[in-house]
Amino acid sequence: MDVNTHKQTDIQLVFDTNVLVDALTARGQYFACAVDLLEMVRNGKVEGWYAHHTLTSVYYLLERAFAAETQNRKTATDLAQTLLRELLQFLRPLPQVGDELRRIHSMPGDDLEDLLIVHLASSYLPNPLVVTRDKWFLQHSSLAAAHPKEIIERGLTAWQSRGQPIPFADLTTQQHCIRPQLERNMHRVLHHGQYIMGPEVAELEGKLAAYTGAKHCITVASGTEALLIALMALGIKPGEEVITTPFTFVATAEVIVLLGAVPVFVDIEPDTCNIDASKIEAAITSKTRAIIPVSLYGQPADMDEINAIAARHGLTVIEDAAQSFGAEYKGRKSCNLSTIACTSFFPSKPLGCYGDGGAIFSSDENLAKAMREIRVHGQEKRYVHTRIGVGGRMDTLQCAVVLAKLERFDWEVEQRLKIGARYNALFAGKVQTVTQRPDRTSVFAQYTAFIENREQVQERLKAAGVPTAVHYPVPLHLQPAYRGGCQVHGGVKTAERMAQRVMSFPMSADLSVEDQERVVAAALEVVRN
Amino acid sequence: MRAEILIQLGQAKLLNPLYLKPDAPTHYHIEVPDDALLDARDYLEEQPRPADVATVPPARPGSLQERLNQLLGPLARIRPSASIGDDYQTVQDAMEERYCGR
Repeated sequence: MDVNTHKQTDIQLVFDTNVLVDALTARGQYFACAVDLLEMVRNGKVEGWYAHHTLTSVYYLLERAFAAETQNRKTATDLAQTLLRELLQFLRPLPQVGDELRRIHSMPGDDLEDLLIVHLASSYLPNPLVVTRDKWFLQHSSLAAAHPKEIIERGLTAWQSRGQPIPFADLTTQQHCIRPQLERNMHRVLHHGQYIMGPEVAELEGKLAAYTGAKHCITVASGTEALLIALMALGIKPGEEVITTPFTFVATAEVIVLLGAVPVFVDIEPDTCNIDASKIEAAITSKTRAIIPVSLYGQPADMDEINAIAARHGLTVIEDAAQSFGAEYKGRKSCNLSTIACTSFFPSKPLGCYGDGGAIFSSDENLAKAMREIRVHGQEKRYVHTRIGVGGRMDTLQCAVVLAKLERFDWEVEQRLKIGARYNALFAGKVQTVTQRPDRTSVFAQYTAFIENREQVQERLKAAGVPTAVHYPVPLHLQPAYRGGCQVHGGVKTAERMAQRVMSFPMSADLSVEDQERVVAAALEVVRN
Repeated sequence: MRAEILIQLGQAKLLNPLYLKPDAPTHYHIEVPDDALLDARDYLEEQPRPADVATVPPARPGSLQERLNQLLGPLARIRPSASIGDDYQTVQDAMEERYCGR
């Protein structure tokens, strides 16, 4: 089952029994149309689904047809099963949780098989099209339905959804693309029942470590928890200083203050919005212990320069890679660019779960051991607490979700790069956007531009059906809770200026070309006027 | 005599069994009012038997049809169409055979 291919359309074909039998037995005048549609599914041009309960009918129809011709029941049975197996290589099952019959009792119609298809397709798919010869679907069901011949003649795009609101981050499409993997993984957890530190935790940690190249991955309860545990493992004490950027989500500074240490804010680069490495060294004092560069919007900061500064002064670098899992810096993966790295699996992140989750990466054996122990209340072995720790484990179920998403992640990163490049090209010379440095990639957790009169632009885009967001409207040194508890080194005027101008556009791996062009057309219209 | 039949799921069944003489005809006609009939459920009317039935379905190299032909072996051939009702009846028969031990 290929979940990594870019689809030409946002519809999902749901194959009815009669069409599947036509295709598999070359039956009737239009079997070739049915085969062509299945071929498109097999080649990844469109998603193809089936309702599990229809397979029994398909099987019997195949078996009967072949038995009549061969007079040999065994041959007929084997052939029917072989053909079904072939089909299931590329068609996906609509999930069933077991209470569907209760739910469909109020639906009009008396054919349970058809009613179930309607219920399952409309429950799980955003834009289903039933491929059928059965007139009932056209006349009585609430779903779009068409004969294979009609679909081939009119083309798949005739059923494409139009004028739908554009999601800021499209998690729905992603979810139905990986729904079978999600359900498989989550059911596995429900069956083994190891909700805390189940086998999926170690499996995910192994895969994430391999992906980044870091020796160790420690999954934790959130991106914030990852930063907190990292600082605790370094033994950051009250009064000590940690250098970071003021232009980030509050968690970056929050964890420093929670430990009684002092965030020292250094200004950012005006084009990338990442911490300006050239200003870090001047902010180092005898109390400085660590530097936390944030890979903002999905693009790593100038990590070589920052690591070199840290090495000169005996400091530790923690990459806050909450937005940049999957990005690269000089051919190396984000999360393997410094002594420690922390990422977040918040749902809208490039790699997200369905709740809170995060991970810490390190190739330092001692730090990794410490962070593993701190994650579980500082426990070295059962009920032996050698350090102060936290309850910071990531749930097994959330690990199961990320494992399902990982199967599609390479494709998603590739898509994000393409979509980001397309935004760059469409906005070039018209709207100033965040710069991507040539020696690194961004996974575009956000695609961000610099916009004057931002509030007005946002209002007008909202009216045009284009959602936007601001990351972040107030730099941290100006936040009420942080005004007294942090230091600002050398002025952070760039961060203050950018906080008034940055605005992010819809971005996700499943953003279609059509929707992206709608976004850009609306944005250019608003900005021009 | 007049026999009473019940039409259910597309099949006519005698309410009481009739035992015919060995030489009696076995086919009889019943008349059903046209307005009692449901329309066909098939989207498109198909010819009863396509002209090219029994030929191997044409397939491009590497195509799904080629793969199906390969799996079907000597049974790779174009077949006559079957209506939704035909399919329904076939599945009914299969179920009856399986669960009623016919």
